[in-house]
Amino acid sequence: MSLETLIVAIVDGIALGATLFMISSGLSLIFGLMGIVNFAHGSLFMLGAYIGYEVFSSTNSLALGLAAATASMSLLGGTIESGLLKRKSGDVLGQALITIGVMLLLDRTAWIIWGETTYKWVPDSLKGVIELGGIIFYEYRLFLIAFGAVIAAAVFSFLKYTNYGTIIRAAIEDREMVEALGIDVRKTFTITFILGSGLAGLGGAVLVPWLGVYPTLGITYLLYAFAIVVIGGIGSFTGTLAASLLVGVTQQLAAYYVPWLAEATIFILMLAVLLLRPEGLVRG
Amino acid sequence: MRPLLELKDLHVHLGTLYIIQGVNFRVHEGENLAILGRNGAGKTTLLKSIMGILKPSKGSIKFRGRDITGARLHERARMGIGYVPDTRRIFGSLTVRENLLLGAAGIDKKIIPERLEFVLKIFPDLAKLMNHKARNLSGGQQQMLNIARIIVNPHRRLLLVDEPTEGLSPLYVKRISEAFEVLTREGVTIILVETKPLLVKRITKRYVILSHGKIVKEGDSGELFENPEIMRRYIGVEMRGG
Repeated sequence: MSLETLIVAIVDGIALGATLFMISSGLSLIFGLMGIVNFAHGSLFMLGAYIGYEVFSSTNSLALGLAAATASMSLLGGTIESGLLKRKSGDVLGQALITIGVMLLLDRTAWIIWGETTYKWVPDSLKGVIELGGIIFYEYRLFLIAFGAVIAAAVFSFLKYTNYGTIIRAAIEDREMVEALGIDVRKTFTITFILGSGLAGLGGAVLVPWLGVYPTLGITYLLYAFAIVVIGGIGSFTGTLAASLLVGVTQQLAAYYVPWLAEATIFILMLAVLLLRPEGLVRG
Repeated sequence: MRPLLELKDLHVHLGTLYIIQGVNFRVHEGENLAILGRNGAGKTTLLKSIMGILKPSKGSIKFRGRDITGARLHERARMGIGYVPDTRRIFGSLTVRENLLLGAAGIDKKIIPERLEFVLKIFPDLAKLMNHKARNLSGGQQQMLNIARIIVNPHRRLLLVDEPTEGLSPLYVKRISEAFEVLTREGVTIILVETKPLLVKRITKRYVILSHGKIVKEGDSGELFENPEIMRRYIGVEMRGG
């Protein structure tokens, strides 16, 4: 076990954590605010990846692909909320069933269009490696860390410094009291769904140059995101960020040192948190 | 004169429990009312029904002459009803300032600074805590924030206040009592659920006593002090002195 391997594993873990944050933060906000377990969230992540791939490969532009994935999934998420979920307002089970239906529909449609092939595209500008202190790093994974930091800062700023963000944070704690102050919390639902779905689409697309996109991407990362939300604490931005990084780094360390255990590490972490700190790592 | 609030034959169920069993009363502007009663009499349920948190199974609620029985919670708040819950449901992860600004939602942005000044004059203890997370405040400070968050909005004309001094030290009880006196002078009407005789005497003009979801006695609040037997018999509170 060399120090170099350890550092590379940690850097890769942070890069993976940055992507996991993008899918998990939306899921956490939606569940925290609206009480909806959004089973379609993974499908939006997967669909974002496919759309990202299509735009990447046809335009040869990473920025355009990421923008297209974010915009299209924001639009789709907003449509799912305002067109379907709003009709079942207050019926948590009904809403969960709707999201399962949407998940099945989207997953099947993607399978019909793209089949079982794994698609990958890497931007020319980030194809190489960088040597830092004698250790070689992939450029794209370093980019993922920087990009993830920018996205996390943007989400944090939205939640902290905008009226909508403050209302969302307050409503995650006590929706009834927010309404008792004269605020129609339901108006923030669509905004939250748009934000969460856009982040999921972006997360899926930004992962394509590293791990590619394939039909089971959505369900795999949905399970990861559920676990991260539990580990971080439902509705907590900082908790989701911390849990995403923890899971990313743990999984990559396991992948390097105990590969047979890598897939299970996230769920072992979740079990440990449920046993030792059921409210999650961070409160509120 | 048109009453500010009018309840007619109000009935409220909580699941299979029949909590409010036909309550009628009117409250005029400036005529602060105390709702008294033993634990489980239905006082909190009644306040929550007026606010719109609970839906009545029968009867009507009128506010400023308008039937609000079917109005949603946020709509009633916008009409001018404020609710101060007994459990201090402040937003713990938000700062004191953020809590207050949420309370000021919907008001003209230009008057927010003067409204903040208004509440900080009533509760000066909060001034130095504006950037602290609300969950880190003491119980008394949280209760002040609980009230300040409602009254920062100048459109509130009716305050529904549920046991505001429960578990607080005499200093905080005094502060909160003074705050209600200021609000009354400002033209805010208060419906107070409280068992502390001092607060009832200082703040309210009339009282109703609830027992098993029905009003069993009503009158002028001063009468409670002339006849302490009422408090002992109906509420189980022994009054000594003021």
